[in-house]
Amino acid sequence: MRHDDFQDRLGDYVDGELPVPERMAVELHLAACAECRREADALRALRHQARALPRGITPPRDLWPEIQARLQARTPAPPAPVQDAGEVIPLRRARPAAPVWQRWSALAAAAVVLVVLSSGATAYLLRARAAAPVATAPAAAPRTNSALVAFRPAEMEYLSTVESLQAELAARRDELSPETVAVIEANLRIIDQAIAEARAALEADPRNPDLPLHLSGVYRTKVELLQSALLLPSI
Amino acid sequence: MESVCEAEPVSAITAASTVRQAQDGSVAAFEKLYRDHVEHVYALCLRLSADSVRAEELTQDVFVRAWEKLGTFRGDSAFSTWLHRLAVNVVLGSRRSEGRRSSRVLLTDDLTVFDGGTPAPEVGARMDLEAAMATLPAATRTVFVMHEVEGYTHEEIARLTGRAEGTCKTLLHRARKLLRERLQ
Repeated sequence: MRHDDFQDRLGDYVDGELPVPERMAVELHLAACAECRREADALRALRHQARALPRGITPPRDLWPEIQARLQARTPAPPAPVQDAGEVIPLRRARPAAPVWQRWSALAAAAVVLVVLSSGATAYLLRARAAAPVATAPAAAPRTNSALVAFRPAEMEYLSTVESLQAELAARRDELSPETVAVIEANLRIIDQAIAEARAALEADPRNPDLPLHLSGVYRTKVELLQSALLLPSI
Repeated sequence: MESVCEAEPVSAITAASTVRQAQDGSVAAFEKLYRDHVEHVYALCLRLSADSVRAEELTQDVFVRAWEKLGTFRGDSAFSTWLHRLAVNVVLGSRRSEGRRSSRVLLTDDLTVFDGGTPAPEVGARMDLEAAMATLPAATRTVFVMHEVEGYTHEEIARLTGRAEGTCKTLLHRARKLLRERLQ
């Protein structure tokens, strides 16, 4: 073997992946070649450095609240009426093999179902809250809607994600057929209506603990719809 | 494969019980699993994506996917191992989706397509290993992180990335060469 051949095998040698005869040949070469010895040492040092990196890195912020909101949107939770009404229709397909028109039919249907369920869910949540027995008379409505204020950080996050996805989609607009663009826009209008309803409900009933989760679920649906739209192939 | 939480004094029995509770639908138990594993998952997402914002999104995706797939965890391996593989799949899957989205799917083992990444810093500017890894082209960085940092074998990397084993080895050699240049 030539010097270059030995150099090519140093990585495998350091990894312990050379068969015995080749390993012995490399070791004999290393005994005589200072350049290859330096190279092998450098590879070992790099490997040592990589293995010594910390296994974990703390994220800059707590990601659990957003994860929890997404789980809530997916998790069927008792009682049954809330579960049926509040469940977000998954828009991302598990199997990507269906033709585009079929995917968009499903998306359009899902969005229509979403807004119907969303309206039902909003109405149900408001009714359930109104019918719930209370130990004391409710205090006068606060001047500032604390529920909307509390939801604001999550909402800002959603709005920022939606904005960047919409910008991406706008950049791709010319690559999609006019029919596809029309379906996307119709779906977005439906979801925006659901967001407006859920927001109004939260404004009207700020102490209802289910409404922020419901609103979060509808926002998440919008994000998923945009993400799905961005995965569509160009015409 | 080890995990961050395995270094903590949490007994295997307690961990298995937490997983079972989460499988039964306990969000509180799943939050415990999140707290135990998030640092390792985030580190993996950050090193594979080289983008801190994207790493946060991917970490969220990993845990949402874990919640959805929790029923498929049978306890044949440690939960940390199962979660780690899921995380790798989520990151690589998202990269494939992004590739499809931008119509730049690479169905080739032609390694010249992997030349690129962030340009190396100017001569004289020292980098630490984390920063240097982030400058590698995506495929090269993936193989380096999985092999050198996470301890996957070439066979496992080939299976997870859908590339030939020989290609993975070549990418690893390339990563080492680029890193040595950038760390000097």
